[in-house]
Amino acid sequence: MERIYDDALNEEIYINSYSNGLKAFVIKKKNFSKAFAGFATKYGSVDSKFVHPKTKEVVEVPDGIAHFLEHKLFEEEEGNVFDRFAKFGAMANAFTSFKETVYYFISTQNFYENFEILLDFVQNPYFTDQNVEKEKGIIGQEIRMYQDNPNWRVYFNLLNALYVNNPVKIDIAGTLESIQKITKEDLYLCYNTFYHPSNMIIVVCGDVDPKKIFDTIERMEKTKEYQSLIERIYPDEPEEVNQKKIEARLSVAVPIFYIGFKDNQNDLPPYEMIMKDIQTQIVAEMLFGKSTDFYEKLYKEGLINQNFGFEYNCEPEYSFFMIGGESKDPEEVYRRIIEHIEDVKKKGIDRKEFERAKKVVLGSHLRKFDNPEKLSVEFIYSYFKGVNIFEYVKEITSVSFEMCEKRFKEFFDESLSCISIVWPAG
Amino acid sequence: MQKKGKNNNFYMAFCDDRFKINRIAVTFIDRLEREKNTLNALFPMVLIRGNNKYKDMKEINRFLDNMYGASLSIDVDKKGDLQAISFAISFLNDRFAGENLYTKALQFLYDIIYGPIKYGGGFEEEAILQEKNNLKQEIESRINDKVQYAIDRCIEIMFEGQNYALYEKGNVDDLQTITKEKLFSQYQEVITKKPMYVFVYGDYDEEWATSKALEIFGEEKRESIHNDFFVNIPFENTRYVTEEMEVNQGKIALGIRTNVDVTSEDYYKLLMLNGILGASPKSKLFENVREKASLCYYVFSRIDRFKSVMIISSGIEIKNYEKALNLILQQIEDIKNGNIDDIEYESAINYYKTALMAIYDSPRDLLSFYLNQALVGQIIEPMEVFENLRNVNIEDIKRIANRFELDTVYFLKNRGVAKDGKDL
Repeated sequence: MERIYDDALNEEIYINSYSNGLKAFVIKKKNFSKAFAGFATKYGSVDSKFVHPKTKEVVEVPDGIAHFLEHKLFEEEEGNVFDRFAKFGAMANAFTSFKETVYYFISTQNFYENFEILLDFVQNPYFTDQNVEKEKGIIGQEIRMYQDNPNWRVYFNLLNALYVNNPVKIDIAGTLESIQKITKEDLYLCYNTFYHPSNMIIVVCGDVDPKKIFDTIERMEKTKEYQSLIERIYPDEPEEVNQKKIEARLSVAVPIFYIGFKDNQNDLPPYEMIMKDIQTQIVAEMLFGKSTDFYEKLYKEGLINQNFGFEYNCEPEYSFFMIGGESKDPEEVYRRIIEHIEDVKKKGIDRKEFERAKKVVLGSHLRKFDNPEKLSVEFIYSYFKGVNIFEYVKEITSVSFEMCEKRFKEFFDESLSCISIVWPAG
Repeated sequence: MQKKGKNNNFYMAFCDDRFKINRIAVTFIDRLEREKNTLNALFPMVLIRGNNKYKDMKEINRFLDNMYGASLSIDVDKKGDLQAISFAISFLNDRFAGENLYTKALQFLYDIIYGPIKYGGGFEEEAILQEKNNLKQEIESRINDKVQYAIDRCIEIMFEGQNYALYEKGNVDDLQTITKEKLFSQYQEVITKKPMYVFVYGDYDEEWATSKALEIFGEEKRESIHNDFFVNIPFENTRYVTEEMEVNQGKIALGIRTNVDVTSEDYYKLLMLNGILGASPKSKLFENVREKASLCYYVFSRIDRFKSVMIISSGIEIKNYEKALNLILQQIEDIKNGNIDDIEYESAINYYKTALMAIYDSPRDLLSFYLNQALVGQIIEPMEVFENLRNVNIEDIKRIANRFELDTVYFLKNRGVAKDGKDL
């Protein structure tokens, strides 16, 4: 068991590694009444093609299977695992993202009993033809619900416009057609491949006893043998965007839009990835933040409203920046953004703006530490990327103006941008 | 907890050192009425556009940025027949900022709210015009979130002609008639005469924090406002309303009169009923409508404490409307007959325990919990709520369920043939 105390953050973290490759982390939060525990696997919607670690054969499975598996893992021979959690008062749930599946609970009592249930059910799949069929109805309704959600639609349409082949463009839940093809055999195959301890981590956050947690894991770990690294197959992705513009019509009052910038500088060593991430966030804040002239001008012209915002997604396989919101004229906003970038490219970024932007980015990272649930999820995301969320705060202060200047010049290229718009229907 | 204030000024401070972010929230309460709900939704939007101290949005945002990315938020909410108009700032704990930000944040919030009066001048014409437009968009954008939209429509139909049917953010038609003078006078009325709640959370001494807040915001005499927690029209028949929109999934919303006095002990019985029916992870609705019948992805029930109303909501395949409705109603019947098993009961009680304890871990949730308590006129701790829930038995729940009246069944379905929200 290793202990790290970060004085600047006033945060304490305990780490333990197991012989089968599993890693566990306890983020200690003194005097918090709730505790979060998450069992996560590095397996998400983008992992539908891979080399089977035992047979060495290339396998391709239907879209949406990671998410389907997430739903099914809650099923047990006698009912479902919610019965057991309910008895000990935990709120249990799970989610699937592009690159990870996380099972978790939040409890304010009986933590260790609930923790054992978590360890137990994630390690015990129970799939039958019948329970797999039943789930298709529920997931079908989930897919339909998202189809009616304009924010979801504009987001996935943007990814479709940005990427030609990268599976990040595919809806996490799959499609009504693709989920029909899923069988219990597919589920077992994916489970056995990706739910191996060497591909998983456990994160606990709260006022808990790290030793007791690590011992419980040791006692309850079923798998003892080591598995070699899983080889995931991602298609080659061209540098350019798939299409410059993508549009849809849904029941919305005002057009919703996202403008995306494709970042082809991926697969960097962890430290460089952190630095690229922070620099991009600072630059974006300097260019489009709420206290910039640019924002003020567009707002005053009625082109954007308070919903205008941006975010940067940075992964080893794909990175993109997106900016958007609601506008009566999304195409004009797009034009202005490009024009603004060109303008700043000529004039150079402003040194005075830099310190302000840095403070904003620092504050937003510190905020994450107040919510055990969000903090743990952030921790999992960054861990699977190969970086530690605790490093971010330290590195933000070390970023210089010159670094950001360089990053700005390399990124934000008009030719690598595109727009996704959802127009009001009828 | 530290409490202060007289003349309908309420000051409360909660302090501890667990968080990196502190919070101050100031809420004004007015009656929810057609003549002013739109004005009350609009003036906060104009206030955060600037005044003579912070000339424009850019200056406001610069101040916030220099407070290490502090955030300022405004909100209008419906609390029964009342409208709550809130201003909140969240900012970094002094320990991480290396300087005292609390007094600065308090003063800033005060300047945002009182600035136009204090620093001489009304609202800028241009700002009003733009914010009218933004508010119009916001009101119209209600259709974007179909789950909430169906619930809102159900309530509007259920309370037709009454104040509770009004949307907290106002009405598009009324926006047109708003003049600069009308807006300013309503704004002044609210911030100087209506009850004010100043709640703070931070890593400070509670006594000091309340005194500072009081020093800046004061205790001028304000009115007291009474809230009516009941549905005050007689029940006749269940209304069934279907509306159409471009959707893939049908949305069903049921509005139920609970006939429970939410200021009485019965409220806790109703809460337990709600947990068993549709709020807890093992609720009857989740188990039977989703897990067993596989009819939906989400289904839940919730109570609006300020109006003794229960809402049940689900997203279903349009052709399954009858089936889903019957199954939902069957769950209520089961409760009326006292058909509640141990797991359902345990699950509900545990659900509330976790939810109530979790309130202590979020300054934002804690402040809003106490505001709601204060508005109902009973300030008790989250854990006292839990103690009250623990005393509820199956007979109590059964009795409460038998008072239910199904007022409105609302169904949002697709227009004509099912369309897929086609990409162009």
